[in-house]
Amino acid sequence: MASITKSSADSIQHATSQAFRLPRFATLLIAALLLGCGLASMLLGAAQIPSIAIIAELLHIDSGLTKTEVTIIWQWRLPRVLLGMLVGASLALAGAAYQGVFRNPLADPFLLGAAAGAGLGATLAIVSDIPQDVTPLGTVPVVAFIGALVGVSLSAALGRAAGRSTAALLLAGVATAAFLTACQTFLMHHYMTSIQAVYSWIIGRLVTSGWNEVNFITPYFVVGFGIILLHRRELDLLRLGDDEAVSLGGHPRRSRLILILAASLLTASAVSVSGLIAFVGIVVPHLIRLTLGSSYRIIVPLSAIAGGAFLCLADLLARNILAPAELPIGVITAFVGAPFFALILRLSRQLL
Amino acid sequence: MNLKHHIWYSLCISFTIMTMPVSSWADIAQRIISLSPSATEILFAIGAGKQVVAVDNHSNYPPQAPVMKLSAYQPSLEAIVSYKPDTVVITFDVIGIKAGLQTMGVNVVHHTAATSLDDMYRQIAELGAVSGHQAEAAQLSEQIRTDLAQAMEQIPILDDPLRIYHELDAAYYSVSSASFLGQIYQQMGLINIADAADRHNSGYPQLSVEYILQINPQLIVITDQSGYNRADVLRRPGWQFLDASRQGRIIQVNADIASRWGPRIVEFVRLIVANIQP
Repeated sequence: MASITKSSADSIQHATSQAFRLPRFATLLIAALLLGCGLASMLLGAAQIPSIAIIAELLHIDSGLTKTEVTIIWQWRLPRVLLGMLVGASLALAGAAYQGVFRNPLADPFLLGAAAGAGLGATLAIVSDIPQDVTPLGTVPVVAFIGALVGVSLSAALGRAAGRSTAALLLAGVATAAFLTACQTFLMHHYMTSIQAVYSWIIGRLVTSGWNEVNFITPYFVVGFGIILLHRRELDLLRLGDDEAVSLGGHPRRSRLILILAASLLTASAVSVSGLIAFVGIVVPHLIRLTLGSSYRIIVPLSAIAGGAFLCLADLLARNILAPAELPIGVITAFVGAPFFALILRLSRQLL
Repeated sequence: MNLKHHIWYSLCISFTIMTMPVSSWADIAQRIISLSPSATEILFAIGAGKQVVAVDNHSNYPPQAPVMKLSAYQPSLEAIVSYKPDTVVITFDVIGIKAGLQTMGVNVVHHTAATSLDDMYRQIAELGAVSGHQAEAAQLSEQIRTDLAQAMEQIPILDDPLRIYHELDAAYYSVSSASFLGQIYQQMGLINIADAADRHNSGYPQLSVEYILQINPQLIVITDQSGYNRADVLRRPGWQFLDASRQGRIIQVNADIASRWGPRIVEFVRLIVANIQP
């Protein structure tokens, strides 16, 4: 009798610890997917360069490529692939954090008005001729960050005013995003000579000029990722509600604030380099949640990796489907993301 | 009757006399609004400028054109009608503007963006007919034809035609031979690298930078409204190796001249020809 009780306690403990631990096989699989997408992206592009030569060049073996081909690989293709990964990871992480903080499965940088706020901020900074070195971090990202915070705060305040329901927050977010996007569109139409530029910004694009964008986004990514990763346990506590979180030794108000700041930072830096790439922030964390587990100790790290892989794959398609022409990546993320997400939702109906 | 009244009286009489015969030319447009910078340039070039009462906010040439707060992309029927036009020239028939104006008895000339020189000559002739300046319109077209032919004679004959890349913005949007400018490049015997990327003949494909680098254009044309210049292009990684860079053939052109179909296309062609001399 005693032995049965002991073994069932063991199995409960085992099950609990499993629920919070990274599933080893799935983690390896997703990491392999990221590397695979990265490698495929390095090998395929509008410039026809033999794969073997590219691999040799990447391994610093004499590849016999021309100066121009070497430049294409190191200065254009590699930074573009890395930028896709960083932007995808940033948006997925921000989405995961917002979902945890607001205890709302539909929260994401776009629905909460953070992306729209960042966009408005970035546009303001660009058209208002403020010198780019007002702050040591540059002007555009800082103003975009403030914009993202304004967007989220507006949504949260409006949502709270309307009640504590899931729907209230989302409706408030939709209204905020619509308002901020309208302001931004007005500014763009007023100040920009090219409608094309406005349009390509709104659907999102990954256009690099060498390593500039990667160098720009990396520090923000490291900080944002670090903060959210360190708070993955607090995200789990927040799921239980404030009272339970306090009784379990958490600081729900403080962690919420820190997490919103980190997620907004990630959103702002991603939006300032790539425009409004929708769908990554909501689809990726849900894929992980639906397939691997609902603990943020699993969702946070795996969303970052999977987000990077997803956007890298989308960009691979955007660069190659119409080569030597390009497609805007926002079209691919929505086109691939939406049906895929619907499929996962359908398959996992029992789990919800 | 004092002098002041007398002057007023005679002014009114002369004004009536001046306008009387004009209003009897029923078919000829007397109050034209142009919502197309190209049409504005053409109307002034054929001597119909005096009949133009308002032009859209992008019609910045010639300087005497009466620029008003009118948008060609988001036209406002009320704003247009407030100038009491009898004829409106449009490029984009958006938000039902054409039907709206027609219901109010305004004649609408709908000239979509020209995609060839023939398109342009046809539009010049039509604007001449509408404004009563047929002879000047014919003369203008003839002049453009002669000038273009003369300019094109200066094009060096090469065994391998030059590869051209025309850059519209920093996202590498370009013009293919399906566009007006692309047609001009084609007539100049240049090979347009954007053609391979425009299988659906949209006219304005977005190119991959890898492709531009690998195909190695010998002539690069950028505009002065893109926010960067020749030196910025040369600073892009790898662009210094391109033939165009090494031979000093990155040309910055006036964006207005390079995006309109009108008399100033001659200036554009002359500039390109001057830059492709060996």
